[in-house]
Amino acid sequence: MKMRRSLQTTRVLAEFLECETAWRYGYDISRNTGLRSGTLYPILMRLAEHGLLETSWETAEAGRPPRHLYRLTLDGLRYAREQVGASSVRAVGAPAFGGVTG
Amino acid sequence: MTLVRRVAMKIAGVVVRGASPGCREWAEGVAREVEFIEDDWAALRWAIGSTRVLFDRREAPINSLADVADMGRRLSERVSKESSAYAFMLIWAFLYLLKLLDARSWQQRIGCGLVIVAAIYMWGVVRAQWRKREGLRSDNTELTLYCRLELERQRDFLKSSLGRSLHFALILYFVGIVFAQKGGVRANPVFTAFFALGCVLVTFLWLRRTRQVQRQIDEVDAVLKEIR
Repeated sequence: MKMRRSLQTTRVLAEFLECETAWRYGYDISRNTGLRSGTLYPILMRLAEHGLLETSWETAEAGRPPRHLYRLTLDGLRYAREQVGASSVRAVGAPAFGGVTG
Repeated sequence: MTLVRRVAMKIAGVVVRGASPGCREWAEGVAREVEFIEDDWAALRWAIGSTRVLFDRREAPINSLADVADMGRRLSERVSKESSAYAFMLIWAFLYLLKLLDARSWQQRIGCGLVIVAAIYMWGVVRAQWRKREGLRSDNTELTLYCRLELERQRDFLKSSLGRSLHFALILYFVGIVFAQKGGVRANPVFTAFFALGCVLVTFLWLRRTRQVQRQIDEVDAVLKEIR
């Protein structure tokens, strides 16, 4: 699967993995990952383009407009586990402070 | 409603209205969130960030046979727009032919020469491509089939050496314009920077178009497969 790997994408994927099957709001993802809307939405769009993310509109409540919802697909969950797992392995394996050796 | 909130809502509205067809749903999604952010300044920051959607220009996703036919129609109409752009560049190049006669330095001569040669070359390549395109249209092909064939033709052309040479000629055309001005590259840094930016933009759009065409082909194929 050709998908640009970035720290931000991994953060978004990790956030989705916090609650794997739940539909999420854009602003909540942004708040929890610390990513701004201008960074977050291109990532979400890319994930959706690759069939890793599905979107839906919330059913409208009286007086409130419906919100856009996001959730990882099965492929997306698989991909997220791989990516987040790989990045945590890299983080654990990487020596602190650039690994200065004597 | 506070002024800051009102500004945020206004920006969100502009983003939704200005978003390209392929990004409209996303723009609406990001804009809708503004109403649910409690802090006004956070809402404003969110709305300002969402303006990035405006720079992402993409066509509406192809989900049905009607979308494919619609795209086929748009592709067939695009010929006139492209032809006007290249015709304009060719006419513009004639001005450089006049300038060439009056050129005083080798830099200007090279610049004018580049503009003229690049414009004639581009015109030749583009004319040959139009003939191929008209061949696709003339045999009463349905719009859906035409759409698929035309996208395939575009993708193959963009990836071919002829397509790459057209891209290269377009860059040479810009480089020629910079060189042809009195004093060459050093004459006006703003002018030079503007055209350098043009070259970068052309390259970016070229690469983007190649990816976009492949994505559209995949979408059309998915629709046609569903029907079968």
